[in-house]
Amino acid sequence: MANPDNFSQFLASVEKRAFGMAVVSVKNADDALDIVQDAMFTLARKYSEKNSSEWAPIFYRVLNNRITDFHRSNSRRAGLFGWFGFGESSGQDELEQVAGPAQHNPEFIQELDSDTRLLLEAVALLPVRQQQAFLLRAWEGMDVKNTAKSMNCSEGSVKTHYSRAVHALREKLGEALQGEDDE
Amino acid sequence: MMSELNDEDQQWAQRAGEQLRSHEQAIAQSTQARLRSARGQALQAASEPVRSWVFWPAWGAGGLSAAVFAWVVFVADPVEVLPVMDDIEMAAAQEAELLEELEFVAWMLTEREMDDEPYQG
Repeated sequence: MANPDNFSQFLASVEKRAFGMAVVSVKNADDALDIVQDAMFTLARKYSEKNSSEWAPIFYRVLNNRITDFHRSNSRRAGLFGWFGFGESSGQDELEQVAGPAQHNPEFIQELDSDTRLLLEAVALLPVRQQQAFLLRAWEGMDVKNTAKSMNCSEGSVKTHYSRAVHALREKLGEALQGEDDE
Repeated sequence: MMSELNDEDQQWAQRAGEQLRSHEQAIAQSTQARLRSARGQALQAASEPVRSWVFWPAWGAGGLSAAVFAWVVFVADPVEVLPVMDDIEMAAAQEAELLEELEFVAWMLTEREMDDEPYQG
């Protein structure tokens, strides 16, 4: 490992956001923890020797892949047992359309103030790729280039997903967040 | 690089991001403890070298077994698996074949003689 202290600091700096992103997407704290732990292990095992500037995009890429895998396996299960005869849809297109139902309210969201809770609940209803683009760009503060690496897509796709996400969220919550400016 | 958002959208997204960052500590203590534990395990995993040589004996034994099996199934000549006969057994077998042939010839001659006899019906 390049430098254990640096690596530990990096993981400490991203773990809460990573958990937040995972829990917003998969809507279950235990699954989210498994996903974050898996992403940490993968980064530690395979990529800790890389330059520290590469850790963030690699970590979020692994995290997003795990989240995507989670949704894929869930939709396959739903396809097999829920909508028998509905037909198999292709992975990426399917993920574009997945909007997370707010069925579980993880403790993370319950402990937030009402504005932030509303924001996260609205994010949870976005298609997965829009969630990822919004959370990486707005929450993590990542630039377009690294977001594209993290999402394994082109920079143009990141811009499209992010733009759509912000428009959808503003449409839903614009008033709520606008209210903060007026105070 | 041109931004993907107009100024208004960008400001809104910035505020949303700040709001999310300011509430990161809202994660329950128990969850934070599990995240710390996961981090510790990941760091430990990173510091341990992958000792692939530990698996060499197993790989070796498995590979040897597979090679022997493949040789027996695909390469080995099945004729060699048959029991080898000694000279006496071989001679006896040949004599037996000769006797069978003699018997056949004798039967054929008898048949011919019967065919040659006039019909006495």
